[in-house]
Amino acid sequence: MGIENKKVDVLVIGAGASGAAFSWKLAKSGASVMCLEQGDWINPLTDYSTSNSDWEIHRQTDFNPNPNFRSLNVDYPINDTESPIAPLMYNAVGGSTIHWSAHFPRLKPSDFRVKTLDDVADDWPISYFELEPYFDLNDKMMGVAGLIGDPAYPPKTQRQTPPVGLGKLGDKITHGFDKLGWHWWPSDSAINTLKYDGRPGCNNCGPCDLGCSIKAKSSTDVTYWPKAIKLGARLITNARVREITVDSYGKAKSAIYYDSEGNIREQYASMIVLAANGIGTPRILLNSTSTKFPEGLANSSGLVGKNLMFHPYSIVTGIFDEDLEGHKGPTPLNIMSSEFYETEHSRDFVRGYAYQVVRSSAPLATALSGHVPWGKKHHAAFKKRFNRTITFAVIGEDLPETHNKVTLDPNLSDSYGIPSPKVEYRLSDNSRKMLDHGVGTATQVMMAAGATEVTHDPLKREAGWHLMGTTKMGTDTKTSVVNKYGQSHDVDNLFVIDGSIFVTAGAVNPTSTIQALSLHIADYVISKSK
Amino acid sequence: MKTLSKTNSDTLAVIADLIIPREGTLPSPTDINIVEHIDDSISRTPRLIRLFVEGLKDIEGKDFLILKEKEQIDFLEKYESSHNLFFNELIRHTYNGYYTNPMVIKAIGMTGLPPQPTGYDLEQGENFKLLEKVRDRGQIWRNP
Ligand SMILES: Cc1cc2nc3c(=O)[nH]c(=O)nc-3n(C[C@H](O)[C@H](O)[C@H](O)COP(=O)(O)OP(=O)(O)OC[C@H]3O[C@@H](n4cnc5c(N)ncnc54)[C@H](O)[C@@H]3O)c2cc1C
Ligand code: SF4
Repeated sequence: MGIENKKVDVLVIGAGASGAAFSWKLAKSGASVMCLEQGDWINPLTDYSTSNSDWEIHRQTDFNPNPNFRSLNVDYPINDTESPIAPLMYNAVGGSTIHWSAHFPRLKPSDFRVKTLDDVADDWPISYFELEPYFDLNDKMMGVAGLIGDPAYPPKTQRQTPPVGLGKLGDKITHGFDKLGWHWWPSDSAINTLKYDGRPGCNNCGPCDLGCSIKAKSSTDVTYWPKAIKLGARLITNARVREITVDSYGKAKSAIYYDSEGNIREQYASMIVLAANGIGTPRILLNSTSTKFPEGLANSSGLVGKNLMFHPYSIVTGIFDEDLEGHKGPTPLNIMSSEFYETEHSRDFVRGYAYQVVRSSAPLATALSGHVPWGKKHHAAFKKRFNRTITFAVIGEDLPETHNKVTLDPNLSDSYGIPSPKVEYRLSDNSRKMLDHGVGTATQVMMAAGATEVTHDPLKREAGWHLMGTTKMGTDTKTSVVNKYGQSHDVDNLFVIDGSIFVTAGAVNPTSTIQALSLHIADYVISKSK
Repeated sequence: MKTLSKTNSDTLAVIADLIIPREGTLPSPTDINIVEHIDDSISRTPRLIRLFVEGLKDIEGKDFLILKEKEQIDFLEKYESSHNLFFNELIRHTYNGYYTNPMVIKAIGMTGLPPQPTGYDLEQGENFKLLEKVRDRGQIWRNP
């Protein structure tokens, strides 16, 4: 099949958050590791738009987080017509961390035990405390700004740099929390606030989502990858994997991919590791059919692609009657409140939510917010909001449900003809009640902080930042796809290390936990190969 | 690249200045050559070229340019609901050009420079001291 490449020990598919961490750890152990990535390298100095005056327009075009709008050659389209939340991602070395806001909270101990504590979903086959050394190692590798002592977490080791500054806006909103006596904390952030690990400190330019041209934001193209490559890892870009093949024993044999010239190549490996994210990974597995695995590779449970979780978001925006200098500092302010995180049986929903504070929108985003009309009232409406808004992203824990899923679309495909994923998702009653509660409490904080007006979006559509659950971890081969080491129950030399393996979602951004898991799995792989 | 005819450009100029009127020190869209900006940005996308050329022609056919300002505004308000798709794009492209123009950015109180390479000075803030109280409440994470 196509051009055959020399066999490697370990083949990783996807060079994003998890693939980078895993490849570094494996390369460090001396293994021959190769990574296939469909995207390319980004040059932070020349490829990011934030030094140009039209920088904000790039959010609508080549830097739109929605691949359906971005439509670059390296992207694949996603059918999201049956989901109220659109999946977002970036395809490049660094994966979605190119785009991310670098919120870096860990899942909490209770998140790993939801069945035991709250009788919902399943417990994880691993605990917070088993992952703790990997969280610590990952923090060191990524560089985390934060403050220890948060009572919403078990104690943590010293953060690499001090927390992101509050500025006027942060001072304003924290008064609100303080008045109510509710929890808030400068949450961990994968941003250098001071020089760390050869990268400079943040200069508070604002739009982290458009990429950090000075490399203060820790995307894995500037953290793990340069180190992994120095240690011998090979990273092949513009390499889109179509499927994984198996040998007559049912072991993973090779990955078939399209190279930068469109040639079909076959890469053999002793072990194949999927790190293509919660949508890309089930897509590849479902497209890897054979007589042994007619329903897709590693899918004897029928759960590949099922249990998709996104973290549904409500957005609450307060308007204040003073200039809060809301354009200064990383837009994600990295204040998090865990006041309503844990289950409280008196509420009409189980599990909980967090809020993250977002600074004011930039000029164009303010104008396009839907609250600034054209015509005679335009300037007054703009002035009322510009630099005067504070936003809470209310992030809820959606529980795994098998009808929320990724399948292959029979009619849509990428530029190589590989079937595209189709996403189906329904917001559960529990999630709706949780978010409604969150909108109510977030409004209280805004008012306590002095907002003159509060608006909200009950369910943000362009918010599918977190892709989880589609190859669930577990001990039972009938109710899960991989074990606690990300190893497929069906194919023992096939591993999944990205957000797909989450059992439940927690109510915080997932990447710190995704990477800790990938380092933990790397350790297992290394110990087995000794 | 250019798509729009002279008449299209004249019509667009009038519409853009009604979408964002000149006010105080804030320039009008035509003060910052918005028509050129819009022409440039639609000319890369066939769907937008069609939408703008056909939409502007339609408006021109209704003698828009000879109406008085108040009548033009009334016309556009009606047009907004009857031709939502085109009108939304008109607004988006006008806002895009206007709010990325250094003169405008300066006029709204910023430096006029893009975020990088200079960034901004951010006050650390005074309220880290309030965290004492948060700490004093003690552990709120649930130990499983
Ligand atoms: C706008 C935005 C903001 C975000 N903000 C945050 C945040 O603040 N905090 C947080 O924790 N998380 C955030 N996230 C999510 C975070 O980026 C992801 O959780 C994380 O990157 C997932 O890591 P991953 O390794 O699973 O996948 P990714 O980082 O998405 O990497 C997957 C890689 O696999 C490649 N790939 C996919 N299919 C193939 C194929 N067939 N062949 C070859 N390569 C393939 C892709 O090109 C991609 O590079 C954000 C995401 C977005 C889009
Ligand atoms: S705010 Fe800081 S981390 Fe974010 S892009 Fe700007 S310099 Fe980079």
